[in-house]
Amino acid sequence: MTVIDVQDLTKVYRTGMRKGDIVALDSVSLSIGMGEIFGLLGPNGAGKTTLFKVLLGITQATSGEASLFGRPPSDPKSRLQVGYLPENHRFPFHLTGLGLLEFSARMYGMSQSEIDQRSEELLELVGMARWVDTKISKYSKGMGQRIGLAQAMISDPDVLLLDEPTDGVDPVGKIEIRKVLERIRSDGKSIVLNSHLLSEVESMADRVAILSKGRIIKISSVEDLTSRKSQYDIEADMGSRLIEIPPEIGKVVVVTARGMTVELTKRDNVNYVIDHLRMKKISIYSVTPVKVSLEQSFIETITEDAESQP
Amino acid sequence: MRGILTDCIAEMVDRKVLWIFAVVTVIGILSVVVSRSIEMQFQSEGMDFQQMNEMLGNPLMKGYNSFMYFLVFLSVLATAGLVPNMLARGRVDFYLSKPLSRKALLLNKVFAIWVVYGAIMVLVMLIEFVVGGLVYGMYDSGIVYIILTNLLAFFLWLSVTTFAGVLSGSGAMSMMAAFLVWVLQKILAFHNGIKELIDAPIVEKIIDGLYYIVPKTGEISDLADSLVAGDSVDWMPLYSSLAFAVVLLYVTICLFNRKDY
Repeated sequence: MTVIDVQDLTKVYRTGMRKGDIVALDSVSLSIGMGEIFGLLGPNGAGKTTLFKVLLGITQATSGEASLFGRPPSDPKSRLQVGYLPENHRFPFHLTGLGLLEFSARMYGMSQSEIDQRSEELLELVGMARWVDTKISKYSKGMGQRIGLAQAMISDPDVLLLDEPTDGVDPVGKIEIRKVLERIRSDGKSIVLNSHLLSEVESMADRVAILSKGRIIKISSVEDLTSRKSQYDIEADMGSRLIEIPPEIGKVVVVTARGMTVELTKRDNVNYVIDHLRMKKISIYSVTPVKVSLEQSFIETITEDAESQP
Repeated sequence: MRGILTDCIAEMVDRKVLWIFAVVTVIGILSVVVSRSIEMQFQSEGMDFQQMNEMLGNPLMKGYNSFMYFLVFLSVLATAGLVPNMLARGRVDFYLSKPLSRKALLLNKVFAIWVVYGAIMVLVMLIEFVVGGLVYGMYDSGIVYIILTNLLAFFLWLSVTTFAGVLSGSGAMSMMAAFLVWVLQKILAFHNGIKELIDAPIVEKIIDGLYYIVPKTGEISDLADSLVAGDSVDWMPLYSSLAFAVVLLYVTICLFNRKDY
C-alpha cells in the first residue's frame, strides 16, 4: 500500500528580487509504501524540508501532485494518520511537556481517556516522564527533540515524518530514539527520515532518495547504494602467487598473501575468478562484495551530480 | 475547539496578563471609592446622589462604559501578538501539520481569544459593578448594554489585529494596524465637519465611503451610553462595523489559505 505519493512535484519560491526565483523542488517523483523506512538525504537547501512541508500542506506546490493516503495535502484528513516532528521547532513555550501532548492529541480529536493513556506511555518511551510538568521553554535541545517525537506519535500515526529527529540529542539519547523508531517499524508503520546523520539513516532506512538543488538525483535501496557491485574482496591463501585476469573479465585491484580485491566488468564474472583460483589450487574462504559507507556513497553521488551540471 | 481554548487560557496565564487586569481592577475599585468621597463632599453641601446623577447625566454608568472601553484597549494590546505568535517560524509547522483546516484553526483561535479575554473583561466589569453598587446602592441593568457593545467592539479590533497579524506575521504590526484604524475612526467621526471644510464632491464621497467602511468603536461606545440613557439609537455604526469585521475575517482566511510557511 502506497502511503506517500509524489508526482512531478515542483515548488518555486517567488522572491520578487533581482536574484530570481528559488526552485526548492524540481519535478520530484517518489512513492513510499506502508511499513517502509525512507531516508531523505541531501545538502542544506536541497529541498528535503520543503518536501515535508508540501506533503503536510504547510507550503503549497507550484505544480505536480502530492498525496498522503491518497488524499491531497489541502485535505486536513490526509494528516489524520501522520505525525510530524519539524526541524528547529519552537513548540508553544507556555505549555508543559504534558500540556503539549494533550494539546496535540486534542487537535487530532482524541478523547481524554485516550490522551491520558497515550501520554503516559509516550512520556515513558521517550524518557521524559520526569519532566512532564516543566515548561517547554526550560527544555534543552535534546529534551525538546524527545518531547517533539512524543507529540508526533501521540495519535499513533501510520506515518511519521521526522526532520532531523536526533539533532541536539546526546549519543545515549540517539540510541534511545533509534530504538523507538525501530519499535515503530516493527509495528509495520512508515517513517520518512530527514537527517544529516548518514550513519543513522544507513542503520535504519530501507530506501533513500538523494536530493540536490531540489531534484532527486538518486533513489535506491541502502543495500544498493552501499555496495560496490563491481568489486569483490576474496579471502584466500594467495601466498606469493600472482594472478592475472583477462581484461574482458575485469582486473585485479590489489593482492596480498591473504587475499585479493578484484574489479569485474559484470557480476557473473565472479564465478570465472573463483574457478580460476581453484584451478590454481588456491583455497578460498570467502567472497564478499566491497561495501562503502552511505556517507561515502552520498558524497560520490553529490560530487558526480555537481560535475555533470553545466 | 480542539484544545485551542484551553491553549489560549494557558497562554494568557503564562503571559501574566491576569496581573495587569488585577491591577486595573484594583485601580477601578479605588476610583469608585474616591469618587464616593467626592460625592459625599457634595452631599455635605446639600446635594444628594440622585440629583447629582441626573444633573451629570448618569456619570456612574458613563464611567463604567469608559472603564470597559479601557479594558477593550488593554485586551487589544494583550492579544495583538497572539495570532502572529502562532504563525511564528518553527511554531506554525506544529499547528498546520495537524488534521485541522487553516480556516478552522484561525477561526478557533480568534474565537478562543475573544471568549477568554472577553470573559476576563466581563469579570472585571462585574466586580466594578458590584463594588459600585455597594458604594452607591445603584444597580442599573444598562450594564448589559455596556458589556455587549464593548464585547462587539473587541471583536472588531480582533478582526483588524488578526488581519494584520496574518498579513505581516508581526505582533508590532498588528498593534500599529489597530492604532491606525483607531486614529482613522477618530478623524472620520468628524466626517461632516471635514466635508464642510473641503469643497470637492469626489473627496466628500471618499470621506463618506471611508466613514461607512472603517469600524466605529467610538460610536459603538456612545451607542451604549444612549441605550443606557434610553435615548433613540442609530444602529448604523454597529451594523457597518460588524459587516467590516466579517468581511475582514473572510479576507484574512483567504489570505491565510494561500500563504506558504
